[in-house]
Amino acid sequence: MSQKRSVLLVDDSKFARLLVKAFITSNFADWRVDEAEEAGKAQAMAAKHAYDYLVIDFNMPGMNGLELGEKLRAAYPDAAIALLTANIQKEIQNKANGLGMDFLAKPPTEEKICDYLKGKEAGR
Amino acid sequence: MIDLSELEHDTISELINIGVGRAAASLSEMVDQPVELTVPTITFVERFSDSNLTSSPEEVVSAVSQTFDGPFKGEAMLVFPEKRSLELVRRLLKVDVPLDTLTDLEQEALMEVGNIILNACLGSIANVLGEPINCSMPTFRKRETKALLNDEAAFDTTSGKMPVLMILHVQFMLRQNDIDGYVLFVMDLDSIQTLKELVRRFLENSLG
Repeated sequence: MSQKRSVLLVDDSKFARLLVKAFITSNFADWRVDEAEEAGKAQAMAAKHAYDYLVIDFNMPGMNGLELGEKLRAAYPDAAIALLTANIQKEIQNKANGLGMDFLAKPPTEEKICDYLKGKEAGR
Repeated sequence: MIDLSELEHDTISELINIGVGRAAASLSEMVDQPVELTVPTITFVERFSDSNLTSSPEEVVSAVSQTFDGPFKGEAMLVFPEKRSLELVRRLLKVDVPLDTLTDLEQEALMEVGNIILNACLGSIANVLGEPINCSMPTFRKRETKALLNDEAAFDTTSGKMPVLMILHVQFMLRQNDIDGYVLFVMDLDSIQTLKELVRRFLENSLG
């Protein structure tokens, strides 16, 4: 039986959040999945609750996903942080990896999201 | 108008092929069915309304647009007929939702699809050329084909020169749902010259 975990999805697209949340909750029924549509809200939420997973979009109004990831990485060293983005350029992938973030290319699929989470769970 | 050698023309087509190929793979993942693509066409026009895309000028289309900026800049657009866009959204959502929720989500869903498709396209071109490209946030418009691009806004009043637009057009089809649409890249003369130069360098490096 897997442990109850918590995930914060940070994406300005309501549609993207809806899909990813559906994929997670249908595979990990007892996990808590919260949503934020921009970086400021995500930081405030992360300060109130220690999330196990932070899944962050890159291209958002205000702070982008790499800037947010860098701040969250420093503040929450134990969390798994992934950049989930349509921007597949090598430069972005390298920057994400350099900041200690995992890189997941959009589109999100059930398989992609669950494989990622299962892989991480196996390593915990 | 623009002097492209056969090899340069081929290379630009191939770059777009790689980009759109990656985009089609993304779309196919999202809708769980094969996506067919046409061979890209490249045309140069002075006004968008001169392009053969406006053969049904009154048709209302949904379009997601992103401007891009880097060594070359322009606008990339994902366009499909308005009447099929709800059907596409229905295919994209893996979960069943009532029709009014579907309508509420339509614009959000299409923007995110546009974002994924256009980034896949531009990102893989950037990766091949080794030059980073910045993409803006996507914007959504629903209007008649003839008004998709504002010809007046493209006209450079300071130089008095008519801009040259390079229109790269690839059509995609989801046969199972009878949905089709196209991807459009529009660039002006300066950007076309830069792209041409990058392609020339890329060919030199690749061919030794």
